[in-house]
Amino acid sequence: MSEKRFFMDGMVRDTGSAPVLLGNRCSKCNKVFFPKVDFCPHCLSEGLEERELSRKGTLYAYTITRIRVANFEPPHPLGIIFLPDDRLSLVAPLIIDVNEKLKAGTKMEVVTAPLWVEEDGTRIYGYKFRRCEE
Amino acid sequence: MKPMRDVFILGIGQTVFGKFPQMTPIQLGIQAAKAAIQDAGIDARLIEVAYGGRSYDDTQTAENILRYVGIAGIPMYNTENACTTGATVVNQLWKDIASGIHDIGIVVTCESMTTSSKAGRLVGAAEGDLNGTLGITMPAYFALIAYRLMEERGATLEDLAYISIKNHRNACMNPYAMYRKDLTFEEIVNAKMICDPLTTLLCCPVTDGAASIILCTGGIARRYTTKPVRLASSLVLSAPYEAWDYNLIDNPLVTELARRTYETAGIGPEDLDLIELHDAFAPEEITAVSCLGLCRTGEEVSYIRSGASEIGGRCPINPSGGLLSLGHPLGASGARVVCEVAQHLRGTAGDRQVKGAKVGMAEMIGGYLTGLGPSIAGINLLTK
Repeated sequence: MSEKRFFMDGMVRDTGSAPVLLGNRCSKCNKVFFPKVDFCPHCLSEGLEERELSRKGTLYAYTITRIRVANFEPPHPLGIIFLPDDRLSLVAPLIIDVNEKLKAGTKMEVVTAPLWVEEDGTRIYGYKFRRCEE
Repeated sequence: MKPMRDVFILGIGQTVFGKFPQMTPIQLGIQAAKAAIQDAGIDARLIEVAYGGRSYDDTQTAENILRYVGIAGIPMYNTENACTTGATVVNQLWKDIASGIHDIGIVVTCESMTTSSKAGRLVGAAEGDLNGTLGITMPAYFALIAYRLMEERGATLEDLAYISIKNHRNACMNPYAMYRKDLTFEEIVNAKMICDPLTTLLCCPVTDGAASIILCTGGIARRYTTKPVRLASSLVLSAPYEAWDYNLIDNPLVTELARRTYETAGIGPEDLDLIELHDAFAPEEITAVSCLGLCRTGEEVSYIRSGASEIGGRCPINPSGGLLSLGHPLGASGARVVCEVAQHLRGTAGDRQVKGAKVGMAEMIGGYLTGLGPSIAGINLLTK
């Protein structure tokens, strides 16, 4: 039976129903970061608290890579998702219909998804965003 | 920093930028250095200091090039600063001369992308970088910029293609471009897609090249030329943290660097007669026009459509053909664009000459691959 593991430790809490990305928030200036930082680059404070990011956001930009890159076969949709509740943007692979054009502002939600399979058969999982309703 | 002395460009030299896998980067660098020394008309032994610029593959760039052109036994420094490497070494030499540490020095830059360990691969993020692990690459980042330009600022595929068409047309007049071929819209959109909407012809080709520049004081310059070109301002700046907040179009790094350049040189963007800028990907030239102050934020597309960037237009951009045509040997591009602007100010740019050019900007921006953001930029401003 092949193993299954998350591609990076400490970034996601799998609540069973849906993943929650874990960032941190500066307790001094309130800025939120993902991935977590060791100090706040904005105010240099080291007072950081873990924060669960909102699961829903909007599409800021996306593209589809059409050649093999990193561990991904083409087509590989990749986007920047803006999380308005956290005032933060992040990069994530997308689960979308590559033949459909998505407008900026499309509502998206985070899901746990397979990313790639290692040579030894280990299945690597990560987070992706897909369209959602309100 | 208040410079104490004016700095002048005494010699420039570059190779053809194209594919030369049979040549080592050092061999390319030697060609460029010899050309710069010959252009300056000086004895090589006058050079007091050297800065070498190369991003990949080996050390001791300056020492290894200059030993073959008669320069040794002087202080030498080698620098890596991503796409801004060439602009950075020009800046470092400028600082030495402006501050009085040296009177004359040489910059030698070279890069072989065709033989480099990174050649032929999609330039990817640094090892362990989160976004790189998720599939971000240079072309993907600029494809995201293109998406925002189209969604937010009304750019079309025709606007993106126009940048490549214009710059390839300019390259047809540049003897330093290996590839001199006009492109059509159909060729651009039908080329191989890399990251939607960027096809290969909206991205720079993989090339090799070298460029070299000799800078000196006014006193030395006047002994060798009656028409010295002044390096009036030379600045390098790294990105503020907010540059990584994913406003893909309005680049705070370039905006701030341009502001400081104008303030230092005592000019405004309206005084520029030409610009050579980093157009490794077509959308960059569109976002640059507002960051550099040529037009207001939000008016990039109408500015580009006005023809202002053509040779003969209000402020030609990339009359050399740009990185889109000449490619981007990382260490060398930042120096090549200074050589190019100098040629226009001297009146020696041949068929692609910007007539009456007196003020020219050479801009480079690099990074993008650690933390997904522009990380370092350099602007050299030349005046006659």
